[in-house]
Amino acid sequence: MNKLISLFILSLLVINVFGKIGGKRVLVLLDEEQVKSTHSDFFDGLTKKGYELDFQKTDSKVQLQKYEDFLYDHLIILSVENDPTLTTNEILAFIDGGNNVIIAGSSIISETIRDVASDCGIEIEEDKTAVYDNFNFDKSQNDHSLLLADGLIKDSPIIVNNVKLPILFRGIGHKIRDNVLNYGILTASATAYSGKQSTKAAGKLQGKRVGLVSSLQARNNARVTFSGSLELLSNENLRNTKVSNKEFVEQLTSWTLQERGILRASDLSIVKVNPTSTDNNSSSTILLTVKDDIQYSLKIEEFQNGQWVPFVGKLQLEIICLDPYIRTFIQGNKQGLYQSTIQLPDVYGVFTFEGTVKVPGYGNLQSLVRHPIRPFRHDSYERFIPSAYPYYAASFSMIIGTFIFSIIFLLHRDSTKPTTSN
Amino acid sequence: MSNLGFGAIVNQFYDSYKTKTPQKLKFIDLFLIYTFLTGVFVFAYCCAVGTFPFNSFLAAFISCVGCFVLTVCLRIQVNPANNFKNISFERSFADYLFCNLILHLVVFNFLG
Repeated sequence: MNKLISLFILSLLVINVFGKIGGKRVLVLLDEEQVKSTHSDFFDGLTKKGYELDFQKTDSKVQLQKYEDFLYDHLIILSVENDPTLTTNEILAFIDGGNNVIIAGSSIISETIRDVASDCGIEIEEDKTAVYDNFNFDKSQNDHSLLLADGLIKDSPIIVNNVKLPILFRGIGHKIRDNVLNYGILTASATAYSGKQSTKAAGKLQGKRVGLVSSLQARNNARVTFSGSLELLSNENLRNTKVSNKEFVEQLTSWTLQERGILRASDLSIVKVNPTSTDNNSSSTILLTVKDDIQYSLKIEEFQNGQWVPFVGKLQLEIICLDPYIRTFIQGNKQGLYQSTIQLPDVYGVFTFEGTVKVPGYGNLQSLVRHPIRPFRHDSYERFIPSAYPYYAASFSMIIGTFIFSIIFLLHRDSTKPTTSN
Repeated sequence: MSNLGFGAIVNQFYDSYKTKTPQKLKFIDLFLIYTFLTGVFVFAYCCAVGTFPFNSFLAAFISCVGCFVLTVCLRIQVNPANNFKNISFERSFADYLFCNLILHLVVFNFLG
């Protein structure tokens, strides 16, 4: 009994220690029980990485939050045709809390999922439509809706290089909003179109604009991925060696569940390069003066394979007082340390030192610190300005001249007396 | 008509100045010329180099202009040709010294 209690308390502690990054509680919503078995490879892959999966049917009462605490860190919704008990607002609040969502649909999508996707910039096509491609389909099965798609996103940390073969996809298409936050991870080829299943007639969405798998990275680094095909994740496609579904799905899920591509900043320090004797050297009470030389130093790491490794990239440093007075880019060295010597602007005020890293596919990083920059002390100015020496000379000469003049003027005696005298 | 030529006027002015003005007024005039030249020099320097320590430029220039004005006032009050009978020579010179004191005090402080 004691062992059970201690194990229970320990498990609670473990759950609390895993914060946002590395959170392992996943809620999986399924419509039918058989999805669990047809997609068992996908779920086993997640369990092997340490995720705790909680399978629920979509009509069971689930709660994502209790008393403002999130009960799960990630949400996976597979093929929801009927409205789940979770409302759109609950799912959007889950995303706003920084948690990630993976949604995989098929040809019928419920209204809730449609709303969530449309709030994330993904407009899903109408029910009972599919993406057809009369040129790039899987010819062995003679089904024009079973696409071999290879419109992968390029040069992005979302999908790294070992996805070489095309990817099998059968499902519904969507339109992706043209936005920096949205990424079209897998798009159809130019000969594809989204058409009704009954007549195969083409609708308005055609060509490369048909999105097959796309995602959103919100500004709080929450990631939402929507895949129009549930079969993309199925055992049959994951085990198929002629296509790269396995590698694609692995990388997609690891990016979406925030196992990669999240940055953090630490060790911010602002140090004066030439401290004078009146300066305090501890960085918490540093006093910055106008036109000082400072060294700005920040360490940035990225989360990869469960560990924080140094991130080598470019940091944008802005020194802002309502407007940026200085904007420079600092290149990081191999240890992820970003250091630069800067001269502060010739303006005093309360300044924000803002370091930003925005790389597409990586989480956003912003490090803000606010410091006042004070003007010169009255005795920090030069005492005598060399370019003003003539002015000093002129003023003193006037004073001396007046003095000499008044002496001469007073002591002067007329040599001849004036003729008119009383 | 030949007496009204410009050269003739200048010569006439110069001759009458030499003979008719008392010595004291000539001293004042010398000092006025010196003050004027100093002012011109300060202004020319500012035009050449720029107005960086503007307060120093102003101090020097105001010192020259102020001294000029005060000395001109002294000259007017001391000149026997004007009717300043109620202000004695001592009184006008005392005023001159007092005003100069204030002027140079301000100039010295503004010089920076």
